[in-house]
Amino acid sequence: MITYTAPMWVGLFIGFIIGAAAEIWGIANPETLIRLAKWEDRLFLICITLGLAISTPVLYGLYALGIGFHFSPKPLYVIGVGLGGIFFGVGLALSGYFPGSIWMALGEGRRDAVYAVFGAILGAATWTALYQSPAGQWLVKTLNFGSLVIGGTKVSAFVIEPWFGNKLVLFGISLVYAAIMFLIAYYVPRYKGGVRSCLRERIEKRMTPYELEKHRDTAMYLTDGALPYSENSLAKKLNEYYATESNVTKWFMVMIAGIVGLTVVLEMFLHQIFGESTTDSWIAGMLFFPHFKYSQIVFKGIGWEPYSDIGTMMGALFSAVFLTRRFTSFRNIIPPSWKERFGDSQAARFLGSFGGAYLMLFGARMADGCASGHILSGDLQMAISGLEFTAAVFAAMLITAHFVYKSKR
Amino acid sequence: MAAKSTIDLNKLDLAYKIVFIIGFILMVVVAAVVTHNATTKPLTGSQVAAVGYIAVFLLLLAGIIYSHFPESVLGKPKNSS
Repeated sequence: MITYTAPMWVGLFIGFIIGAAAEIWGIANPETLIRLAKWEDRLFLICITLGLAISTPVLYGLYALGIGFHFSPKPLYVIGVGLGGIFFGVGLALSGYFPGSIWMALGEGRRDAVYAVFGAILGAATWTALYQSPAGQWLVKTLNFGSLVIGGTKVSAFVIEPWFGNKLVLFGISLVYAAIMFLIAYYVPRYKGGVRSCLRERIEKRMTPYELEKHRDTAMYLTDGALPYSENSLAKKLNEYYATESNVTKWFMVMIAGIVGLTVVLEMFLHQIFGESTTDSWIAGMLFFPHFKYSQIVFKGIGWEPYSDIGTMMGALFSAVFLTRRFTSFRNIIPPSWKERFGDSQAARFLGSFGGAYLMLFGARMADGCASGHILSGDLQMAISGLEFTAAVFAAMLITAHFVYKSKR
Repeated sequence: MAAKSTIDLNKLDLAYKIVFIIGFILMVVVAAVVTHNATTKPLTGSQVAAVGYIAVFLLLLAGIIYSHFPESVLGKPKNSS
């Protein structure tokens, strides 16, 4: 089996690529995830499923050919992962952030991301304190089935042992899995009230006037409070790609998920899965609880996450300054959905961002992963824990947003 | 006067972009040096801080420089309409 382990500093580049691509996507803006939670804009779902459809067969295809990957499907401890996903979903709906997008938002110069950083570290610290208690141990030990993927079990650093047959069976399962993901990406309309996904818009080369209006609305909030750009600039093509003639930027916007997914496959070959929330536990351990059991586990097991998180922030900063011009210079920009419901009070937004990030990170550490470790890297490996976490996050996020952002009328 | 101001902002923008590129290269070099090119040894606080300080400096510098630019939406200054 061909294996390789890259130096730690390479994590800066991996984070940079993912941060830059995701910033162009619009994930750094909390409004994007709040609209996902309100089920008004399903960009994240569509792009993630498209990314999985592209990347999962590549991962298992190469594995079947003898390439070794640093597999890391998270352990399936059913109660802790599910409960963690619920906390995560509630926090995501309130803050508009997941751990990775906080770093991206900092790179975009968003003020409420600063509040989210502190909430996230405090949330991680809370789990660190809870972990060594009987309740914490019960959560991670009850119904713990180990590191499972659909069709196999992780048995050592580079090996996932198929339940039946050989590695080709895993590849076959990944093709079926990819087909399901592709169907979701193709048929779920991007906008509530719309008829086409981003992918169908590009393939069929048309959209309804309503979808065009929603695209314009999206571009407006993504560029609100940002830097000026000229008519012929790359920023114009990226921010208003739906209305430009450039096929390159139109397809690029659809394919970003593929780029992100394949970057994670590359990362798994080089060193590890893509994860963002471990850094918060690492910081919390360094600052508050260096001798706690959970901190000791994190200190010993930390990979290049702190570097890839810094790289994520730098990649987003690069995109926001060089490409999309969405850098907001830490101005007072409140997400429109939040403003509509709670007004433009900075104190209220502080509570939403800080409190939401607190719940989200607490849940992420309870479940041993976040949107990056479970939803992106976990689902890419077909990890059963990742699928459970994803389902819990979506359910909690949709229910929370339904009540929190309900019109005051 | 407005044209001069635009030229000044363009110069600031260019200057920041150059600083960013140099800063990012420096971050990679510092990361490689402080970790001794290690592949599996867990990162320490000082190794992360050495790189993190440069990142925070670049972010704060961007915040200061770009706060001089007009607040815009869809690329056009908000107060221009």
